[in-house]
Amino acid sequence: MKKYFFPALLLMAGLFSCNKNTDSATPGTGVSGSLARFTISGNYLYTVDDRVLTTYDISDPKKPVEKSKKVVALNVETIFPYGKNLFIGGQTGMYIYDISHPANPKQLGRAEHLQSCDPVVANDSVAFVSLRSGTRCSNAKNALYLYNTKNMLSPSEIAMEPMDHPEGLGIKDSILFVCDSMRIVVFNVKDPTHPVRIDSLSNNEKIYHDVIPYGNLLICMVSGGILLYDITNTQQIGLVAKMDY
Amino acid sequence: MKLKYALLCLFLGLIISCDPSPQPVNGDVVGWAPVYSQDPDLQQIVSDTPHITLQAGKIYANGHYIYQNEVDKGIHVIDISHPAEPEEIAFIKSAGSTELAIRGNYLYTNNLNDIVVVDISNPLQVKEIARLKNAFSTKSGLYPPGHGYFECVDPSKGTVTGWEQKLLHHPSCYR
Repeated sequence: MKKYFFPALLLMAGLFSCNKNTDSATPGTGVSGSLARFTISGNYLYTVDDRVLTTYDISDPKKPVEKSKKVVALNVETIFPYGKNLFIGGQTGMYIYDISHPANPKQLGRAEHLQSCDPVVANDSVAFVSLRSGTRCSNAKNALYLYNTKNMLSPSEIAMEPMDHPEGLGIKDSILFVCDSMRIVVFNVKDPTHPVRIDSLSNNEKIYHDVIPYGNLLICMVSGGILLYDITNTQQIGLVAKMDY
Repeated sequence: MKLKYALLCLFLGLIISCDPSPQPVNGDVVGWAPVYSQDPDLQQIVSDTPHITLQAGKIYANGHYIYQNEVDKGIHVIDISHPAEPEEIAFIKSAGSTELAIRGNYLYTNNLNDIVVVDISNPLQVKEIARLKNAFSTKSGLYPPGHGYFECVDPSKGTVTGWEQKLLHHPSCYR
């Protein structure tokens, strides 16, 4: 028994530390899904690899210049810009950075949680984080978490909604779209302490992976294709097009 | 005593599990070795006719286009000028590509371990305008897909296009 003690501990330490095999708009800048590792805000490109946030000045696209590197945490996965902030999702939490000085992002607060996979989107005062379980993210609950970010230094959880297996998410005004396995759950989050489910979209058992609210269109990355919905009226969302691979 | 031993083990485990710093081993051991390619085509960023989607990746929207990554291959360009009839019009080849962001006429994506800036003003004839060498990789790039000893990446040997398991002599990297 004793001789397995060391390897077992080593394995556990390895699992916990390495368990990974793995926007707000600037004019002329596109919109990413919530699973992005690259994002552009103003004249800067921000990238996150597994643990480092790197900043590039892209004022002259022909001559991008690296400006800074910041260690965020282990197993970072996503980045989302909103106003003067970057919201970074990782397997151990959500991290908020201040980009008032865009060349030199500064960490403000963070909300830590158990190991999970967690894309994040945000608006003026709330960050929305979806946590899911899975092979890479074994300990997670499947849920949507809402954090009050009025104090960016210490975001506080204000609501939690159980989900089946949430992945990407997107927000348009006070309407939040959450990919949840074979459907998109549409929430009204005008009162973020009480998110209200107002609709659920599905299409022939396709799995919804990520979503981009893009003007009046909702672009959905689903298993085997792309779906486009008209979200002009969020009370009456209609399928516009279906691209099958 | 047992507890101290356990804590020590845990500590050691944490140190060597994520850090690529050398932990030399004497003799031969089975581990991971990078597969290099000198093929200059891998660094070519060019437009192509639409490709079939096999492994769909991340999505991005800009102007009247949706861009979708084809994991490790490049980017599909889909015209949504008429949202009811989206149409794939081109494919931008970039080996190893998994990420993308766009500002104005410029696409930023990864090409193996580099970040490239691509002029996409004409999606049918894109052009690389800048390249940041070894600027981006997730663990799949500079590190093997599994744990254990591995041969450290030597960029002078070419570009890493994959990993294979084999018998290594004195490997000095570990994760």
